Amino acid sequence: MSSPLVTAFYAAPLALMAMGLSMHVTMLRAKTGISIMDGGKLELAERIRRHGNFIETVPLILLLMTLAELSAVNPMWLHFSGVLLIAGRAFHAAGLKHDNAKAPLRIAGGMATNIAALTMICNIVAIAFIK
Amino acid sequence: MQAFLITSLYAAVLALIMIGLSSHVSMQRGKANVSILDGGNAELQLRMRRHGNFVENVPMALLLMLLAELNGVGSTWIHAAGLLLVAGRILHAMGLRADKATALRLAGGVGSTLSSLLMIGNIIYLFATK
Repeated sequence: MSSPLVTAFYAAPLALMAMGLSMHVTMLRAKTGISIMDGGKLELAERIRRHGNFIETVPLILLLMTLAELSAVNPMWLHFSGVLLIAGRAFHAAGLKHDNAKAPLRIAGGMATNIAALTMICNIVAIAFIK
Repeated sequence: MQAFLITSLYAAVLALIMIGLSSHVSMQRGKANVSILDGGNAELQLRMRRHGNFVENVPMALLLMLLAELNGVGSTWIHAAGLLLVAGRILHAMGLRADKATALRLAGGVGSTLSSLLMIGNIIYLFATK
């Protein structure tokens, strides 16, 4: 069993992105005095969802990458998923707007995230059933 | 790779805390008869956010600990991150209030963030010295 070094390489910057998105929420909470939920404030809701969508997707995909790497997947696929995941999350956060459900950046970000996950899923299935 | 992972010790403790926070939400759902979302119930909102903040932070932090440990980061660092994370999540859940920002909540958030920063720092150090 190999050490999951490639996954760690992508997990560290993603964890820093999560902290950035989280602090973006905290700063506006401090400014507006809204302690929980969004208080009906759209700017706060938008920041909450930028962080929320990130944290609803990234840990599970990093878990897939860890499992695939521990199962000795070809590192090329880990880099493929890792780069897509970082780009996808940056696009999604940059593109998410409360008044536009069809923002191209947001859609591209969501798609990249899904492709990153699907790449790991296919590799895990291949390792399980073909090897 | 060692037979027993230190991360699993902290993961087990944290999972128990998570079950507690989740059950706290379920109890209020039963009492207020609000099946999904918060139905404008302030107590339910507060319990949901205690659990919500926990699950938004803990899986990623545990994953960083696991990746650091599997890549050979020293056990002292893993214990430091684990203790900070457990203490941080308890403080945050205790300190979270609907009407004001409390010192406990802030300390809990800072503890959780420090835990992850320790692991991120160690992972970067792995690559810097590779």
